[in-house]
Amino acid sequence: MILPFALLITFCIFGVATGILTGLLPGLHVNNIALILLTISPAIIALLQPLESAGITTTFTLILIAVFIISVSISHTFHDTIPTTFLGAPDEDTALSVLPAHSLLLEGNGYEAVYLSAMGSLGAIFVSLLLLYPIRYLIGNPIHGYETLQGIMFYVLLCITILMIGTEKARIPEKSTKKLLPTFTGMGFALFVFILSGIFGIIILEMSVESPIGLNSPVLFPALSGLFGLPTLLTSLATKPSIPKQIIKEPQLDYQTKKDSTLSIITGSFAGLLVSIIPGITSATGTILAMNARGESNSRQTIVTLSAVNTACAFFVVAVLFIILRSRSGATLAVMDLIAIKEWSTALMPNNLIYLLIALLLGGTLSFFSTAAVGKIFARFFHKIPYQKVVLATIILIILLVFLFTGLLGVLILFVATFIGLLTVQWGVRRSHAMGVLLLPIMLFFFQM
Amino acid sequence: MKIKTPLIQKIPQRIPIKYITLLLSITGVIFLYALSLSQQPIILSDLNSIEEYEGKEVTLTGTITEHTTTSYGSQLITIQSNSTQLIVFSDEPLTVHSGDIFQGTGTIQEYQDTWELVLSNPKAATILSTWQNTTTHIKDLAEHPQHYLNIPLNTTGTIDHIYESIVYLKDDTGNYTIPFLPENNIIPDPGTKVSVQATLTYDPTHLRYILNDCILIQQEKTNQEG
Repeated sequence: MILPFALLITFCIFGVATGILTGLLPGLHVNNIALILLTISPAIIALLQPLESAGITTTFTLILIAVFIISVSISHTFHDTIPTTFLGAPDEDTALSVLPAHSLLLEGNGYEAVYLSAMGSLGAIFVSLLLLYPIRYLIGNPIHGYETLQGIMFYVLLCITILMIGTEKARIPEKSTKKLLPTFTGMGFALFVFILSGIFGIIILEMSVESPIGLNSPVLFPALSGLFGLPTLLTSLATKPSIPKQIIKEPQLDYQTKKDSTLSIITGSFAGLLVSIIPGITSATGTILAMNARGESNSRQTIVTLSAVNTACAFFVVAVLFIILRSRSGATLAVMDLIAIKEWSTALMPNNLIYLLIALLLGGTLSFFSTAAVGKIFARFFHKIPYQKVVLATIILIILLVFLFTGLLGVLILFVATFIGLLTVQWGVRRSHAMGVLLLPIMLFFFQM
Repeated sequence: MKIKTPLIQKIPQRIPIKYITLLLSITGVIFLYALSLSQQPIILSDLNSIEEYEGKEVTLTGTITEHTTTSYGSQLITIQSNSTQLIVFSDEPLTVHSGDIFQGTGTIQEYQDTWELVLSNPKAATILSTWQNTTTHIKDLAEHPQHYLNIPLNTTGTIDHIYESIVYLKDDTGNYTIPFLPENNIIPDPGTKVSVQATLTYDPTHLRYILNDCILIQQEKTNQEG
């Protein structure tokens, strides 16, 4: 009994450590780690084979790998705020907080931005835990809210798309003195990016890629790495902002800030829930929904909300997997391949869900402290990190992984996706419009139903 | 004297990189579209010489004669076209029935000395027509009974004559007939136009093909003689 529990904790800690790595390197995503783990799972099973007499069966080893993946995913949502804040290297899920986090960094409060983000993420875990049972009854048996939602999914996605494009604030041209025309041109360009990404998605989802070394070949891997990973890294390579000396102290939260943060965490958690249920929308979209629901707020609360959405989404995708038996993330897709997913249809939770909840809670709590610790180190030493070299190595690693998993065609898809991703960066519209790559094909699917 | 300006100097020195990205992204999507067209699978009209297409992606059409689900949850579907059969392997179970007209896209592979079509994904399979909605002509049944053996099918014809409880169904031309066993011994009168759902079987005792398990789903008296 002690050994299985000890291994569970160990895999969770290793998962959190790996999540620090994926979080700090913006182009390296949890999905990449999940894919690699799926591929090497037979080797891990073989490694733990000698422990079979101590109760470590193959089934339990697969649960441990699933725990590892979920710990990486939750840890990633905490730590990805660090490069966003200090290195001007946002990734798709954190792109909205670029301005708020950077404005704090330029005031010398980069550590505060990281701390607020970690606080939002940890708060979201506890709110999500409280919401777990109500959500289980709301979307599953007996209310079956998900089935109702499925019936109107096309209209839900259409409304979300209109909201995303309608709330685009980019002005094209940026320096125009005219009032309305640049705003409408910005929205028009956002619509263009959405449609171009959507057409790109429809084309590639019909294509078959092949790994030159016989690995599992998901076509979305090069597409998402190109749309959201490489543009971030390329932008990071090109930017070298001058940053003032950072103030490193725990933020003192007054009553109003605590009240605002609680509201941000709650709205963010609900938005995270929506992201985990509705296919094709991301945390960035969830944050737009949350910010519209709670009304305008300051840059600190935007950071708290976005982090809450991100983490609540990573939490709920696991619960939703067991309620509606559908995967809504690369991490849960890998988990589905590893362990038995028994529907959570009674008051009692399935055992495998309990294991994964342990990973979420423990991983989340550990991640809060590690984010604060790593954030402090970054605030003190980030100007000494050979970041350009690290970013360059990550770019090479991603291209190599894409080639190994999806071959030359995958690399071509990666390049085209990178150009589309760069459009959002260079024209200043939100990156979430590039999620048209999934949203448009999904909308067409539900429209035809 | 007017000096000609080199063309290269007329091009703006610095085209903003964002316009280059815009151009490259649109060109890239168009290029991928063109590439996807060339990636379309080969459409095969018959199942002979299937081994020539080993490892290639093909689209095949045939009538389902058998389907089983393995203990691992995958499915083996046997399809037939012009007496040639082929096994289709699907990772996930599909809703199919014997007699359905099936179209699948996948890769041709050899498994335990048998050629198989391994479906690319469950979406790569389509039921073009369910067996209830497909009408097989009596002429085809009479000329190529082996193509339809043990497959549920629909056919339409006129009752020609009845001999020892066996009903003979003729086509519109009157040139082809096929025997069938009506259910519950309810025998329609000669000259009645009927639609029959049945399975074609071989009767070795009388050395003949006969439609069994018949259900008469439509009756219409058209005969002027009777």
